[in-house]
Amino acid sequence: MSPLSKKRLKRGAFIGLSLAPSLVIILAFYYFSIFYCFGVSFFKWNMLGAPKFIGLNNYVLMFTNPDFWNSVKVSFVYAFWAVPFCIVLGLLAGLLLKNATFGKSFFRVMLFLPVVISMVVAALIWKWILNAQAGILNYILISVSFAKLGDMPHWMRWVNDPLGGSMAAILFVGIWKRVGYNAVIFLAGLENIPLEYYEAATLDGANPWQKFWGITLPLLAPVLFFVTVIQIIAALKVSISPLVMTQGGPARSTDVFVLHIYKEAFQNFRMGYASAIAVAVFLLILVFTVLQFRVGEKKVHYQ
Amino acid sequence: MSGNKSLPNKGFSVGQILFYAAMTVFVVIYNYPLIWMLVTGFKNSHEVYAYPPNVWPRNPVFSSFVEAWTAADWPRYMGNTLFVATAVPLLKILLSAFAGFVLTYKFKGAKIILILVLGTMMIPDETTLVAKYLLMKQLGWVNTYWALIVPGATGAFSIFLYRQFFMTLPRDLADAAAMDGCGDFRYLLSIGLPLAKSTSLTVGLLSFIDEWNSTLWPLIIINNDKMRMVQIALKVFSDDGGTTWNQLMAACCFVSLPVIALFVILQKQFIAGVASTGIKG
Repeated sequence: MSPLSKKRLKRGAFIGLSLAPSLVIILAFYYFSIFYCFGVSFFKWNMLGAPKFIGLNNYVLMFTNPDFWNSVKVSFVYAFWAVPFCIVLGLLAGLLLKNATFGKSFFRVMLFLPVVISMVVAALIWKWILNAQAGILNYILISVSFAKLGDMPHWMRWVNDPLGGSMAAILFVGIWKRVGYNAVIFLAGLENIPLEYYEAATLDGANPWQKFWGITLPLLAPVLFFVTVIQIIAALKVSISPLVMTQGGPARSTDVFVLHIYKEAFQNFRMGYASAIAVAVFLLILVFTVLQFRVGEKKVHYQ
Repeated sequence: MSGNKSLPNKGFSVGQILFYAAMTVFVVIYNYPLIWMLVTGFKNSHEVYAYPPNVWPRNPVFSSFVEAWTAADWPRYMGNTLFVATAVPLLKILLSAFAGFVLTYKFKGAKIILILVLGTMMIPDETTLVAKYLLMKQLGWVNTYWALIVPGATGAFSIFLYRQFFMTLPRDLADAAAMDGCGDFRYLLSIGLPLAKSTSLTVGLLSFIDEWNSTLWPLIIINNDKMRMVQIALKVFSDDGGTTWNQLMAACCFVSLPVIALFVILQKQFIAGVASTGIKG
């Protein structure tokens, strides 16, 4: 063998061995899993007996099941409220942070603390804050005369109230965990806007309000769009906060997609049916992921 | 950081003082839930249910922490979680550095493999939970560390980060090494990886925090108390009779301490990683 082809062989072996472990993992736990999920969705399977092929029956069951449509509604309501609040509050915090002349990294760390703790801990803390009797939030609402002790509106029962209270509870956690993250992303975007623009606007006598609408917002638009799509995807994937705070209740008022899949699969052992819902949720999220990649290509770059 | 540093010896303007006051109020309110977790941990089991609630514990006690720590086998759970949250980042650094490195080469199929790798970002873990569980069952990995470690041992995001980094290394460096008879493998181990230290730190840190906080997957794949992870173990303080909130909040404190400490120490890498990619979260 010539030395050149020997060298090529060596390089080929190196490439193959370097990629193999990563590719095996990626193929098994992503591509194979999603195809497997698709396959299982055509079967009826409780994991005890053999899976039984039932064609599209699981999908028919799903689309005619009010519990599925309930989880669609719950997930969309959650996203509808969570996304704008995460973004507006995150942008506000990012703008504040940008104007700090010193102590910026300290404030950034403080904004990021709720992001790094686990969703379980965050949900437990908020469940305690929202405790109907001994919780600090109800105490504050009562002491500012927003509500009267002994005559509280139904939603102040928070995690136990099916008519809005439980949804508000999981929204608080979700928004709280996300604001700091968005603030840091927005800050990076804001710092990319050249200072000269603002200086020129000042010379022209623009006030801060005009600068915000005329310079900041248009130049931040790509980042804003990118963050919006990320937030929509994240909101559609929410699971831990309802799992910890409400188990999807009361009366399925917080039974989001992922929790619904989890319960059908691991509590009711309807593997095929749960897979059918998973396929539907996957396709729904895929629409937004494709959107995110498209925008990503158009050079949304911060930092 | 912005260039126009204020000069402290000139004193502060009124506007600046107001700004920092507003900033401080915002940050305190935002972090109040964390403060409340800590405050509740220092209350005894009577004071925790006092109405009106005391904003500060009247007689702070440390006993809730001790009771919480002894209420369950925490050393075991912490050990399990530490093992998984160390093994996964180390493997992830190793496997994705190698994959990211060779993906900078020009060879047949390189582009397709890169697309395949990046394409996994379109498949959310939440939607493959059931299939992954069934797969693990076939492999006989339910209730094993394999199930907790292997799926996270590489990742599109980390492979991509390494590839981006290795593409910035000058060609001359590899050529000079090759002239000295240094093969690809040795070049990566002794030159490439040490230079990629900051990428490795970002990948490792994000992965550690992800694993320490992981909940849904361990909940599904582990039902053996000996292998329980910390986030799942927080369940012990709630039953049908109610929740012992002071102990639970104390436990939340020590479960969160490792990630908070690590984040505060290495915040620059962490925030750089998040801000430059926007993928985590």
